[in-house]
Amino acid sequence: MQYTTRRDGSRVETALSGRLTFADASQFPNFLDQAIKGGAVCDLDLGGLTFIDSTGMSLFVHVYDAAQASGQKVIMRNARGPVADTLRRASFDTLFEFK
Amino acid sequence: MTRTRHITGRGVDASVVDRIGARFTRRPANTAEPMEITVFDGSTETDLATILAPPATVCLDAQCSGGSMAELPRATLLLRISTATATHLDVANAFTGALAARLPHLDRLAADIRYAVQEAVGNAVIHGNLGLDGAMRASMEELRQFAADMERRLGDPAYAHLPITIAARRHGDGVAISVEDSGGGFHHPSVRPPASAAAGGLGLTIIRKCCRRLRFSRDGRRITMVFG
Repeated sequence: MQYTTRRDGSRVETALSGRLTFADASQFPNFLDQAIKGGAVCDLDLGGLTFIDSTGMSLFVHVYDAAQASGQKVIMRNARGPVADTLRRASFDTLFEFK
Repeated sequence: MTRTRHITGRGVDASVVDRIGARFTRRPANTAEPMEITVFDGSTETDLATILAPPATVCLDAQCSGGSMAELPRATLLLRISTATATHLDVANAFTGALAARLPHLDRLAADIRYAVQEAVGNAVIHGNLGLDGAMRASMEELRQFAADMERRLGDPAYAHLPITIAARRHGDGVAISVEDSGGGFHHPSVRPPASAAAGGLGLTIIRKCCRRLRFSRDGRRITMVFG
């Protein structure tokens, strides 16, 4: 997984790309530090993600937990193909706003 | 009877091919089908799909520690790969593509096979060879410890070079795929449930949904999934 983060006022925009899998688990704490902390809105652009497995999905459970704890809003956008299918099958569209 | 063996190297010195070839020597066989062995260097390889392409039948990562042919299951296609290599290469996609080239009638199952192998390899790496407990990912503090332990163990040859063996063989009209790690094993289904959704446990659920039958053996180190 690769990601870039950009702050725009109270909004933190993070674009993810590549595969999000078990192999990326050691990156999760840094990702959460950058994508979640310090913004009222966490905007995740998943348009560059090509594959996600169960460990990858667990990252978004942490995003949900952190956002719930701090009262942040999370938006997921541009999920496509197998990534969109996998996230919807796991009911992530009931946890986050999908665009 | 022994199978005819042909050993080639890709990106490795001839001495490495000889060393590994000497370990993976004759074994009893009930078929005269030729065995095409490819030895590759998982630390530098980027094109696993080419290595697994026909006519290869046994693909051995030179980064793996130990091993002998006697401990490998008989298979239509077999990949023995190190923990570190399984972490940096897309094993599930390459293995599924290689199977499709040999068993094209299973093409309709390719997505299920890909997802199931991905989850099984992930479990073999994280919980098997790296010995990490998914329950450690339940909270942020635990996740930080989990991440630090994962980084440290991936940098430790004692963990990074442990093998994972992925083997596929025909099973009736379908295929049976096994994934075996070199960890401490686990006792299914007595594993305790995860403390939270972030702690894992979803992988086995996905595998169950993708395959027709599932069983564990070798004290939980080997999972065998039947498709079709």
